[in-house]
Order: sequence, then C-alpha cells, then structure tokens
Amino acid sequence: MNNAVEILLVEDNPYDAEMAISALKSKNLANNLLHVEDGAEAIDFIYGQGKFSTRNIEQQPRLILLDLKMPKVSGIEVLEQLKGDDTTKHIPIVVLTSSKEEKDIVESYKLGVNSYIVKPVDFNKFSESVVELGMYWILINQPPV
Amino acid sequence: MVPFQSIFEALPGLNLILKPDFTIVAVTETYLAATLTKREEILGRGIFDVFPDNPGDPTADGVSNLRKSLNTVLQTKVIQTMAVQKYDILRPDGTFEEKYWSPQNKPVLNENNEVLYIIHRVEDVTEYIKAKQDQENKDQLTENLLQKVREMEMEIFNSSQELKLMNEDLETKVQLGIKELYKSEQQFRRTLDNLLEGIQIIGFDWKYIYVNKSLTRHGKYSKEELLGHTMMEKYPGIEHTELFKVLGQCMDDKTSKHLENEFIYPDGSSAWFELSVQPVDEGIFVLSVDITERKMAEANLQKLNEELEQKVQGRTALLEENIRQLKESEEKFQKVFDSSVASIAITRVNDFTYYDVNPSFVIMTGFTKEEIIGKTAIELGLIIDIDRRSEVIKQIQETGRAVNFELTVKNRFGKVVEVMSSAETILLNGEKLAINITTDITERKRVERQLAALNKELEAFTYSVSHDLRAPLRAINGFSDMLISNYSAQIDANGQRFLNIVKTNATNMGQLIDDLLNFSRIGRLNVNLYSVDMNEVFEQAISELHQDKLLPVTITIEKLPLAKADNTLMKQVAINLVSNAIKYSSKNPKPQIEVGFLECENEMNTYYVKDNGVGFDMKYTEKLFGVFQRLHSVKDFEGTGVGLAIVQRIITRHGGKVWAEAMEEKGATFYFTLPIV
Repeated sequence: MNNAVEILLVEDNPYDAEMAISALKSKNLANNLLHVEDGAEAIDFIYGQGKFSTRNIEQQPRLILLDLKMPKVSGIEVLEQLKGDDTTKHIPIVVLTSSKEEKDIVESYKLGVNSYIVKPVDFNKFSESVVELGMYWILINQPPV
Repeated sequence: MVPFQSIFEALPGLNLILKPDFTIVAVTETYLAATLTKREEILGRGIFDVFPDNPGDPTADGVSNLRKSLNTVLQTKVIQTMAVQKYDILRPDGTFEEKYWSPQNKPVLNENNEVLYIIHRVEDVTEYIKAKQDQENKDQLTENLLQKVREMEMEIFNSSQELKLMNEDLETKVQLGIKELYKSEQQFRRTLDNLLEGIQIIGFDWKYIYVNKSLTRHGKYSKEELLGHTMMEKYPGIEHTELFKVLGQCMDDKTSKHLENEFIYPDGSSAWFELSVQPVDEGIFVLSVDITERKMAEANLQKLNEELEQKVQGRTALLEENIRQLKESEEKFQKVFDSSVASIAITRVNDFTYYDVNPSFVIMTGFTKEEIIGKTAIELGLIIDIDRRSEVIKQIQETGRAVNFELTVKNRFGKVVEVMSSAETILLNGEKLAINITTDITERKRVERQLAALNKELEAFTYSVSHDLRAPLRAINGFSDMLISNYSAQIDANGQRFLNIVKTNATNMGQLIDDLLNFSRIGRLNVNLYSVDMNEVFEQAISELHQDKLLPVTITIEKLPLAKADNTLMKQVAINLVSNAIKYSSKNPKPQIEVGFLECENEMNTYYVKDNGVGFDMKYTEKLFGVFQRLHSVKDFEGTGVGLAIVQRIITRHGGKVWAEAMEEKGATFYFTLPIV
C-alpha cells in the first residue's frame, strides 16, 4: 500500500471537510487523503515546511481540493503561489467555492485553476460533484511524467 | 383750318395780335366782346384805324400813349406795361363809350431777334375808374374813401400783372403756334400732322373735320376712314359714354375741358388718353396724348409701391418680432443668468479673463464681481490643477466647447470645491466669448464616494452571506443525509420522515439564498446592450431547462424580432418565464406554452409567454412581481417567489415593462417590452 498522499483537502470548515471526505470515501477515493485546515498549512505541506518538514516533497499529491475562503492564507493566495511556481504548477487544483460569485471564479481561472465546484446546499449534489471530479483527476487524468 | 388760331381766339384774356405795322391779325373773342367789334371787321386793319381817339374828348391821349408804347416795344423788344388808359370805344351807332384799360404789349420775336408780332393785351378796368371819377367829382368824398379807391386801383393793376404771369405759359405756346401758323400754311399742317399729340376737330354734327397722323394712330382709323364720318359711326356706342357727354358739353357750352379718359375701342381693347377739349367755331378741337404707358407705369408703380409697402410692413413686423424675441430671449437669458443655481461665468476666449459672472459664481468663489471681472481664474487663485485647466482651455479653443469636465477649485477662503463645468463659445460684438456653466458637485462627489463605499460593503456582505450562510445549511443537509443513509436501522420511519423534512427545508433555504443573491446581483450588474436574437435566447433557455429534466410540455416559439438587450440577462428572463409557465401548467393534462411577438410600438417590441395553466385572479396582478410574493401555496407549486421579481428588475433596467393577463384556470400570458434594434 502506497502511503503517499493522493488528495490534499484544504478546508477550514470541518463539516464541509467531513462531508467531502465521506463522499470520496464512498468511492474509495479517500484512502490517501490529507485534510489541512488553512492555506498556510497547505503551503507548508507542499513545500515540506513547518510540521511537514520531514515530508518527501518529491511525492506531491495528485489532486488538491482547495476551499477559497479560509483564515490566514486564503485559497486564492495558495493558488497564486502554487500555480506561479514551475515546480508545483503541474499539481491539479480544484477549487471548492460556496458561491457563484463570478469574481472568485474568474480570479481562479486567471491563476490557472484546473476546475471548480460550487458547494451546493444539497448534499447529494455536492458528493456527486466531488466524486466526479476526484475520479477524473485521480483515475483518468494522469499527471505528466 | 386754323386750330391754333381757334385756341387763341378762345383764350379768356383780352388779346390782340398785331403785325409790326400795327395791323390786327388775330383777336380773342373776349376782346371783340369788350370792344364791341366783330372779327371780320377788324382783321387786317390798323389798330388805330379800328380804335381811334374819341373826337369828343379833347384830352384823349389813348392813341398817342399806345403808339408810344408799341413803338417802344418795336425798339426795345421788351414787354411794356402801360398805366391805366382812357380809351373810349366807338359804338356801332357812331357814339363813344367811356372805357379805361390796363394794357400790356409784348413782342414776339423770330430766330433773328426781329419783332414778328406784338401781343396787345388789355384788362377792362372801366368800372373801377368810373367809380373813382365819380368820387372825385363829388367834393364831399372823404380823403379816406379816395385813398381806398387808389388802393383799389393799385390792386387792379397788381392783379392784371398777376394775370399776365398766369397766362404767360399759355401765351408762349400761343405765340409759338402763331409763329408756325403764319410762316406757312403747309408747314403748319405738316407740323400739326407730325405732332405726337393727336389732334382732331369735330363738327357740331359730330363729323370729323380734321385729324392728324397721331390721331389716326390713337383712333385706329385712317384719315380717309374718319374724315366726313361721325364719331358714332366709327365708335358705335360712344354716345353712351362719359367722354361723349363731356365733348357735347364743350360744344354746347363753349367751354374747354381737360380730362384723362380710358377709351374702349370697338374691338374691346382700350387705351388711356389725356384729352384737352377746346370749343372752336367749327365745333370742338381735341388734343389727345396717349398716356396708356404712363397709366400702366403708374399702375405698375402703384402695384410696386403696394408690394413694397407690404414687404416693408412684413419686414417691419418680422423685425419687430425678431426684436421682441431677441428681447425676450435676452430677458430669459438674463433671468437664467441672474437666478441660476449653477455658477455662470462668461470669459474671453483669447486670454480667459472674466467678462461677466452671475451671483452664484460670486457666492461660489467668495470674490466680489468687481474683483473678478477682468482677471483670470489663475490670478484669483481658483485653480488647483493648472494642467487640467490648460487641457480644458485647449479643447475650448479648438472645438469651441467642452462638456462636463470636472475640476477642483479653491475659493477665496481656501475652501476646496469640486465642480463640473461645461463651456460653449459664442460671438458677441465680434469678440469670442466662452459661457462656462459650473455646478458645485462637492456634495455629489462625497455622496458618490459614500455610495461606492456602501456598494463595496454590500458586496462584501452578500459574499459573506452566500458563503457563510450556506455552510451551516450544507452541514444540516449533509449530516441529515448521512444520518438517514448510515443510521437507518436505528431510526424509525417517523424519525426518518422528520430528517427528510429538515433536509428539504435546508435545501429550500439554500435555494432562497441563491435566488436572493441573484436578485441583488442584477441590480448591480452592468447592462450591456447588443442586438439580441430573442428566438435563440428562448431556445437556449428551453434546452437548459430540458437538461434538468424532460419537460412534459409542448412549447412553440414563433418568429421573434431582434431586441436591444443584454444577452445573459435575457436568458434569465426566458428561463424564469418559461419555467414559471411550465410550473403553473403542470396540472393541465396537455400543457402548452407559446412564446410570441405581439407588436412594435414607440420603438418597443412586445413579446409574450403564454400558458394554459392555472392562471390567477387579475385582482392580485399587482402582487405578481414583488419579491417573495406568491399567488399560490408552496404545497401546490414550489418556489421562492423571486423569479418574476428578477424578470421585472431585468426588464425595467432595459427601459421596458412587464405585465400579465390571466384568468383563473384559463392560463396566463406574461408580456414584456424591450427596445427595438
């Protein structure tokens, strides 16, 4: 069993996180999932800093699910950092957003986001979207070697 | 035929014409009458032969005085006026009548300044002299009375002088005529014939006795056709004319007439003549001058004058109207200028010094009018951004105007005022001036900034609503769901039903938040107007609705005209109206929806979406488009009550309107208007 993190979930709302994990779990996509609660932690993880200093940064996640509205470092800032860095920009990032506020979506695409999901109130729809995207990026879309 | 002689003979004055040898060659009728003589008896005789001194009067000196005067005329060739003369007249019975005369002798000279004739002209003053003599004979006559008579004598003398002057013109003519006459009969005739004036002599029997060439032209008959014929033969009907009456009078009364007459020819044509009619022995002598052209010219002149008058009147009225309007507009402008809330300054375009400013400008700047006039805004220290001002000035000088430019100025008291100005150039007395109208927008700017800040806050607020309000709903919904799917064994059927109610309500609330956000966003969105294919809009809307679920409904779209609208917003309108129609016709076993075009009026297209659903009672039509207003219960038809409010907000933002017509259970039609392309 490969212990490398396949999905990095960056989400400050624990309930949203739990629901996403639950949805992914039902399709066996959550085995190698790591949940961090803000953008700063996400950056630390990717660059092997802070509490992730021991991590092998050669093994990057195959998908980052990134919430936009978070304390400390926001999702947009994370996107900006990762997509602006040649060493990390290949990591697929799917943005999770609470609203259809076009500003967020346009901004995300400008920064090079790979896809986005508007978190619907309806749990079923939410899980469907998360699972669909997770499947696509994990199973179908192979990263460039 | 001696027409001039006839005229002469008809003259009112007492005249004799004498040869230099004093033989009488012509005499007027009046002279004959006054001297009790007959023409045939005196013509050709010497004047002194005809009029000898009274042999009964030893003091008679008439002959010698007259002879002396005539001889003087022959010598001096100058007119001689004699003192009042006693010159008695030989009566036919051989006795003498005592007579007093005021004579005058005038020479008629030829080209060589030789005396051809002498016109001897007299006034009979016998009655006055006699009266005077009577008085003298009576010794008791007072000196006063005598004086009066002397004065009378003077008066008579003076009046004879006056008369002389008055007749001088006529006499000249007569003299000329006589000259011609006596030179040679043939020459005379030729002269008459060749005169431009028409001459005719008509006998008492109305037959033409003499006509000259001009007359044949005036009369439109040849000499041969006229002579020996009567006027009535040649001009049938003339006996009923005014002219004929006048001619007849001349004949009967031996009076002369002068008149202007429009003569109508037998062929209906007409001409104007100036006629001079003189009675002569044979009948009447008529001198005619064709004045048709003059008359026409007169008429033309009259017409031209009238036209000119009218034109002048018209022009005057126009001018007066212009002046009135000018005055009115001046007054208007003055009023506007004086009372305008906006600051108005008139500046010279060449140096931008102030020419005139209104009270509002004075208040805004804090300077007095006297301080402002003649100075520039820079000299007054009003301008903060000099470059910006130069930019505006350049624009005014180049294009003659500048519209809605914003400037920041500082007034006399250091108060900074934000203003919006427009300037337009005019020419006044040859000088180019700019009228600057300035409005203080400091307050507006402040409100604008406040509004912008509020808008930003509102945006942040809606963002957080959309984000933070939905998160707990998601949790409620999600965890209820997980409870149902993962703990179904532990929860009984009633508990599961409750959980489903929780879920449904959370979902509804989520929908409500989405709709509200959407509604508020439309108010803030920019409307981008393009030509929009309304058929495409509805087709896309319907296909999107189809994606959600198969629509159990027949939808027909007729050909729709283009609209000037925002494509994205139109799609929202279409989706809302069509989904509304689907929803409310869902209980009809054969639901039908029709999208169509009604009319184009006042540059607005009216479209409609019609269904055969439950309809509604028209008395609630007002409530239809309000936010959260619903005419049906959620139990019957789900929904948040925001859809139609969104439709109305979008259509209103396009300058259109939306309304509905319906009957309960008979379907509803929603109309909306959009500007044409």
